[in-house]
Amino acid sequence: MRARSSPRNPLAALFVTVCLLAPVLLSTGYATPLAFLVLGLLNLRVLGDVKFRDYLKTLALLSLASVGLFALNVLAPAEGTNGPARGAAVFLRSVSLISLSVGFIFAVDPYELVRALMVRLGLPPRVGFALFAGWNTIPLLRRDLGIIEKAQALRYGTRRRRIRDRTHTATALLAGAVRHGERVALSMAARGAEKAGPRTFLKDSPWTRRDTLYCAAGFLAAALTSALILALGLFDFDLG
Amino acid sequence: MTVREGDRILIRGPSGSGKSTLLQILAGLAPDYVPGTLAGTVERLYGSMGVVLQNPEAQVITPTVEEEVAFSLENDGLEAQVIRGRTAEVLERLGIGRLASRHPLTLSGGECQRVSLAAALARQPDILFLDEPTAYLDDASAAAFFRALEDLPGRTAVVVVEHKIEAAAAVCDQSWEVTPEGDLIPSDFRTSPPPAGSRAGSGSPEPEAGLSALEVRGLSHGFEGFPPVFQGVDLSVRTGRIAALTGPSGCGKTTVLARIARILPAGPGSVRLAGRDALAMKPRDFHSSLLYIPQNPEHMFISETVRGELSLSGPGALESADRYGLRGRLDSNPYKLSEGEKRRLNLCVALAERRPLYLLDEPTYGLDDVARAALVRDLEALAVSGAGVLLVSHDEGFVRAVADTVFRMKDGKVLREEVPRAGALKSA
Repeated sequence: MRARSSPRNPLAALFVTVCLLAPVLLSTGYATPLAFLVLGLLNLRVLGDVKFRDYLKTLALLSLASVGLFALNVLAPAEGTNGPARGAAVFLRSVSLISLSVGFIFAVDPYELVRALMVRLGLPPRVGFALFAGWNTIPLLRRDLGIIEKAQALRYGTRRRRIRDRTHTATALLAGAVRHGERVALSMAARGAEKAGPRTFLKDSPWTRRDTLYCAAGFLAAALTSALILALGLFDFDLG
Repeated sequence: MTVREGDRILIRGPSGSGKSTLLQILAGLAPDYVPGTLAGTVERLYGSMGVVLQNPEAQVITPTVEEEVAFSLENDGLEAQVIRGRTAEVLERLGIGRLASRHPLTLSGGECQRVSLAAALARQPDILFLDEPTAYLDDASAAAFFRALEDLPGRTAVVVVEHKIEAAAAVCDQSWEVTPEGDLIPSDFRTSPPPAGSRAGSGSPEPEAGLSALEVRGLSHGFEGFPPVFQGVDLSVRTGRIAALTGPSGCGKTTVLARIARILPAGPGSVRLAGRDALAMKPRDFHSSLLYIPQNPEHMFISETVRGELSLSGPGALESADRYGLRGRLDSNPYKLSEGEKRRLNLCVALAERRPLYLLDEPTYGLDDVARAALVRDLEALAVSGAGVLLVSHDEGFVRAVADTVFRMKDGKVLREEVPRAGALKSA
């Protein structure tokens, strides 16, 4: 899964996503998650180059957890609650939260997000570039997993492979990840990443007036939608 | 040991002797970033340094080649304009300017290692530390890597750890050897005798070619969104024969092995093991038909001690442990061995397993000359015992010494060469 480059600063996208997530987190009704689900989709259009088909596939997969929550509420409702009604609310809230989060992941390049955190919010470069390296490691681990599984299966040959033996795959993968991390850390140190002095960023993470406008619009849209839902008496909040 | 301005020093020695650790000490990385206790004194008088490590992909931090090269300059706090100028200049000088916007992990090993060298050179270092920089590269890429060093300013010192002595000799003018006991002594690499271990001189009977151990027909492979890596690959290995698959870095050699070993999903083409369709074989039958030794030796480890690893493969493995110098490491954790020792351990296991077909991916990486010579003898013994061997290697000297048949991959195609078996294993 590869995030696409958004025309907005990643921190602006993060701010608006948080604005959209907050009301959904507080709500246990139907209207709020539905309204913010729609707002989230509109936000994705604004953020631009998102592969909607991949987004929907990921959303569908992760929403299986929401279905589980719905089933749990229906089959084993809490005392004094309407199971199906509660289940539907929990389902909608969960799907909405997943949709907003997945949308952000698809819209924002992780490298650009970390770069923005370093340039704009002072995240230590040592931490930021370690996150870069960590992200780089994901496809390497996926590749290594396939090799380890097959190499070990072939090594066992016709010998019976116990469940316990399968943990060696994880051990080898973990050892590889640790070793890779050590090497990357060494490479970073050799290239002066541990220096305490001021650092230049060749690639900036510019914040434009459009980003400010986008944040203001996102905040207002979230606030007005919440106000409207409150005014219509459709906002439900239940700490239980 | 003293390194002076303009010195070009080769550090050599058996695998596991501490060459890389010495380099890390000289570069100021050990013991600060590498665990251990340092005795004695090191005086570092150089202003700036560049370091290139063994594994190209483990040095990648940023998402583009341009940023990768600029990384150390950014850390040094140079002005953006200066960084851009130096980055562009060094990329052009190394002939990789066209790759500036690519993700380094999408490059071949050779290209990726050139990016690492560019990153080190961009700093205009007083001293350059190279730790087996060509270990993952084919001969042509290794030669190109060292050729790129010829344009270094005369005052720049170079300290290089390298097994490919012929390639390093183009740059180095003096040599130090780390002995197995850990001593550092001056040595003359230009007069080193080649180690024993030629197939001609081994005295073993010539293996007889027999039935088909592996038959690959029309194998093609590509990754989504990219042109095919290779197309219509045909190759075969007969029992009692050793075949080598060679070619430039990134041409798809390892991918061919991955298709044969069913690591990658099935695609166009057929693979037959001892005449049977590999795809139609039950997992149990398939798993007993071959042994695959991956490039990373750790991927095969399944035990907590070297002894445990060897015991699983029977008494033969313990015998070969003597020959590969692992007797003293039997109670060690396999993950704590040096890179060369790990690879030797894999070989001990493989030699004891007795399978009809062996697939070996870069078996000589990290091996010193003595272990390479032992490997030639053991692979020959495997062939004599009736096994077929297909190995992927960019170690041309080793391939010449061990292979009966060489399949050369180039531009997605494979050419077959029958080669004389009498080539001695030279010091590579």
